[in-house]
Amino acid sequence: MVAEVERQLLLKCRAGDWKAYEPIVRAYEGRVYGLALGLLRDPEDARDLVQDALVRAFQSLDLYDPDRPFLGWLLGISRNLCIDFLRRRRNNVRIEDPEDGPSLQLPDPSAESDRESIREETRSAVWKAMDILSDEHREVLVLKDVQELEYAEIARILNIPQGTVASRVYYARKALRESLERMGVTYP
Amino acid sequence: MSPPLQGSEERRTDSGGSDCVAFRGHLARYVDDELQGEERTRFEAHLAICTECARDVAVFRSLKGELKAMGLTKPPVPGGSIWDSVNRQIARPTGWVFLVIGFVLYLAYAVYTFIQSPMNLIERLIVGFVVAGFLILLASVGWERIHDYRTDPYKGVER
Repeated sequence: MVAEVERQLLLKCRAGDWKAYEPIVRAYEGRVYGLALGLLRDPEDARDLVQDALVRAFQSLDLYDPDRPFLGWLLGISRNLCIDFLRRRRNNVRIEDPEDGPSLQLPDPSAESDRESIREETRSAVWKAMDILSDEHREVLVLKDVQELEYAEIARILNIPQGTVASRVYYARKALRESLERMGVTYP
Repeated sequence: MSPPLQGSEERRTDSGGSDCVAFRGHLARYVDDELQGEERTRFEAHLAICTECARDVAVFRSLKGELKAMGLTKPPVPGGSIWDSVNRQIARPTGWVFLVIGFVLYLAYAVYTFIQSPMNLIERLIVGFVVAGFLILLASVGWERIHDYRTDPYKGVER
């Protein structure tokens, strides 16, 4: 979305025109969903979180600094909600419905050709390996490799120095590779 | 301080050694294309002689590609948007505000009309008791529901 258009829409939203929020939601819902799915590992929980994050962002627009990219601010809110959600999920009793099936699901598990099938298997392995990572490592990989944010923006979201981001990304990728190797996936 | 510039043949046997440790922060930034200028030149010189770091770069790029290709930035609702749900939640508080204001105004007007009406005292008492009873019951049920929700020990249980 063009920065100036986004700015104008956000100003309208601040003035109480909630219809101006629609293009913002449509532009960024996929990015927020990617972050939530990467951190929560459950499509249904991730969908609920996207909704909460977008509503929370709208209600907190007075706190938004227009000099900062809106997406980074929105992902910061989403990330905090994800952390709260994960904390609650660990504390809560969870009754599994046997018909629910496994919570680990790739968004599009279609495999038409052998090549595509192998690719899907690798992606599935990466997805499972991500599950083994610590929250800290998973979070930084989602922000860097899925969301493709710059280190400066990640540093702002996580409130840590850029050098720490670089170091964390290094160790997160190393941990991911080791997890994959333990699962039998090797890289040349 | 920048890591040392690699160059001697002797360093070739030091793959994965102390120099690699010093270059770790550079490695991630290099893969992510965030390493520029002299730091990049130094790191590329190191890569030319360090098979361990060169392998890490290749593997990390591959992992980065896999994560990107997972398509995790698709819309949460396939072929649609979550806007309708968000819109409902954003508009709801406004709806409640209007509803409460309308109810209070209506109540005030009803009380005013009731006082001004030409009914005798008995009729007024009957209507007054019925309305007061209804409002007390309504408030009581509402309060009980709120109290139950707040004290429900199973409200955190997920299915």
